[in-house]
Amino acid sequence: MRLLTSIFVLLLLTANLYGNDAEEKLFSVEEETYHANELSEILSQIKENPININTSTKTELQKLPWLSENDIILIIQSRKNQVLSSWEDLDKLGINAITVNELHDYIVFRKRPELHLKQQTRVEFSEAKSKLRSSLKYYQKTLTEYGNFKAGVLTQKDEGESDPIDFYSYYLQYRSNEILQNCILGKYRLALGQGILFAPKLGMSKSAEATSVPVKKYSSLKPYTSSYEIWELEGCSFELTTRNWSIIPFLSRTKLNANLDSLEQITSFNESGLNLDEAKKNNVQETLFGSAVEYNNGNNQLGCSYSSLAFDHEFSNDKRNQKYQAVNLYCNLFNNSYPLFSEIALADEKVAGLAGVKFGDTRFRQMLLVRNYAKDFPSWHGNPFSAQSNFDNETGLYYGVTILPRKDTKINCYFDLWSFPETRYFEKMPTVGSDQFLQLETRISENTFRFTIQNKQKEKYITLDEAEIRDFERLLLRLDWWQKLGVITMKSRAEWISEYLPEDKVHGKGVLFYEQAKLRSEKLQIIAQITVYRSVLEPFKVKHYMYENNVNGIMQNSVFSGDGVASYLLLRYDLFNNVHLQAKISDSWQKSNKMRLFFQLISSW
Amino acid sequence: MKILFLLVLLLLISCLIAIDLNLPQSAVHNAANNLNLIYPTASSMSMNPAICLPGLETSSTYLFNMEELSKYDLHLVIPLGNCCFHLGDSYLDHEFYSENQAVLGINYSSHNLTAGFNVRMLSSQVKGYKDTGSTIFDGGLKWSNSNVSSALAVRNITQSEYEGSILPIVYLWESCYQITKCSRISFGLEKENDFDFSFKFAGRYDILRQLSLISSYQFEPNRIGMGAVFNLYKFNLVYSVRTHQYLDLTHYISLSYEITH
Repeated sequence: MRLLTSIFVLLLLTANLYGNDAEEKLFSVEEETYHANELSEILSQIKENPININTSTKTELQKLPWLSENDIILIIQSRKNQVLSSWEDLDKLGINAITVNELHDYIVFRKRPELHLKQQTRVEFSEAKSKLRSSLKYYQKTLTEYGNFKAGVLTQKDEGESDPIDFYSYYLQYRSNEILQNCILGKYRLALGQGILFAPKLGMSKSAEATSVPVKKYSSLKPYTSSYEIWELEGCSFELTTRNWSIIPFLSRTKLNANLDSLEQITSFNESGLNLDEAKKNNVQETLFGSAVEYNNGNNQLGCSYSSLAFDHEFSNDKRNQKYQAVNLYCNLFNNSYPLFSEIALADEKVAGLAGVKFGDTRFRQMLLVRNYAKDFPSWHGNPFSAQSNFDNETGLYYGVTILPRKDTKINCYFDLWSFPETRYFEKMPTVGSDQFLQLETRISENTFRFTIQNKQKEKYITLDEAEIRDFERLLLRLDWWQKLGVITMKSRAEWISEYLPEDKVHGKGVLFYEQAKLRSEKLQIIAQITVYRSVLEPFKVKHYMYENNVNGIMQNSVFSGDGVASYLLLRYDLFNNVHLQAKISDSWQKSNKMRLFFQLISSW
Repeated sequence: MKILFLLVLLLLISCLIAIDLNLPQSAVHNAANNLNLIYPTASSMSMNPAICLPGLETSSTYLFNMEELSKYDLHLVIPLGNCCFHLGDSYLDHEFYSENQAVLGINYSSHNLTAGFNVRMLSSQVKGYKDTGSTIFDGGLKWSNSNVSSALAVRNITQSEYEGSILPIVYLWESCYQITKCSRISFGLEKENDFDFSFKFAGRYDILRQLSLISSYQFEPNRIGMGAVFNLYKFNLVYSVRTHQYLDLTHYISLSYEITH
């Protein structure tokens, strides 16, 4: 198999290639999760059904994180006078060349065909888990649409799980332009305001799109189509709309996988979705109900919500209540040159708030965002901007800047300062941290260069039992280079990481290089990549975070540490107009049990 | 942590007498983390004698929002031909300690180049204990054209002493670039003896003729500053805040009047 991979890589060097990994910029440079997040899911959907730039709404265009508010206004205004028919038209509007390049997979200049049925089936084989009883991982998603109705069923079984439908999601959705605008029966997810109370998990906070991605712009109510086996709501929710007002009542009763102690109290939830122990599966029930009221005039959104949440088990942490109520108030004022967004929430008698503003002109955009989340604030269904996944006990200030000094150059940088004002899990004192990020992307003829620097400083304890707090510094330097040779694109990356404990004078370093080739012909797409890395494992493990294309072609994170050579090969072939076969093989050349195989069949009718 | 820091500060205060703490001299400095080219004011000359805006400026703050630690500034810059003359004073007050810094400066411009020189007289008093002082000399150079300006300041150029100890020399280099009619960015490096380089970045955006926003970041130590400048005729009112990793925000307010050159 490794030989096969090598041959493909060599073949690709002489093949036609295409692509520029625009989505990689949207993801955090460090993200450990393997699961697809809401953003990558949205991008995946758009990629399969690109947005028609001539008929899309402002909300649809806002889903494209590379477009600034000014870009969207330019597009909408220009459509009144002309039909946009080519990339050159966007160029003529004055949209930055790097931005235009990033949009290539997501925009079309024609009417979108209507989707009636989509079937997606994926099988995964992991060599490391081949000895498990049921070693294959299955995933299938069926979405269908008829008139105003949409329905979907999603199932997933991880490696080692005996139940063939260990996780499932299902929904029936009705959408219309009448009073009942959106109604979902089954599994769904909520997103309100900036996500303090309700937001899809795994949404991005910090990224190279420094003045765009930190702002949450999700639709309020959506079917749950993620494969992440937790945090979904199950029951019924609908959106009643009259003119600009909407009311969204929701009711949910969900079974969760929790770890319980001897008193049958919840110690933690199993967020991995891996259920090898049937006794720990669906052993806790969560009941949630409430309602949100929103005013939305297309550009501005004001809203508030009330919700009541109860678990059928107590928590071992006495700061967490089994039952609590939550209210929030939020606004997104995008109808001006200085977009404002904010949310304040009260849950279980604890307060959390976030506010931000964008300002600047087309060539120089800035964003300031301040947040304050009380300790033990219930962060269960929320995911606002933060420096950590459990966002409670955090105060911070974010400053993001986007500079477009020339037509084919884009600079993004952000500076984030935060503190955890009270003690946290195994941290005996309050700690502070900061993050500095700079990315310069420029195109010179057929070459694109992207240079990234990220520096992170934080105070931390190294082990659970020690009493000493230390400064920890992490510096990342990365250079990406795309070279277009006619229709061929090669991508090279060189990355250097340094981690440092100044008090102990302990250094850890790592380097990573990769070469990637992309091909896209009329029916065939191939991506092949070979990665070489070397990093220390002692005194601490230096990790390289690298986004690689998953079987869909969407970026997904991989983590490398130690020494090794890794490769993957991805293939997509359009069997017919409506049937696509996708396959991916990844392996590590120096480590055993690392081979993974994916096969996916997608059909759309 | 805040109380601890304050106690440490008070304990160290006798050691800090007349040591230039490089504190902001105005709300604009507070917003821009002591970068001057992003929005020159009368007080800029006390940070870099080659940078100034003729006028009168007065500022006030409670450092780190501590009511017991107040600071007041007054700066006057008068143009005369190719020269500007600067007279300024900063006063830091505490129940047990006070510090005064009087500044006398001059700069001369020729074509795109400006050179300046400052004399700063620092005096401090530990109440009921002793008074002491030191004289410090600063030099500065600035080059500018229509879109780009760059400046270098060397503070304490003669390595003045305080009670037998040499006070640190501070180098501050900064550049400012006008991106559009309404936007400019500035970045700089500051180096003080025995400390790492401190990188600074600032952005300015003129929303209206009467309103400008300034935001900035300083690396080592990490701080974010932001402020708004309200401009009416020749009067400027500036309000700004700046973070500190362990202490509260420093709120600063300035009022200035521009003198036409």
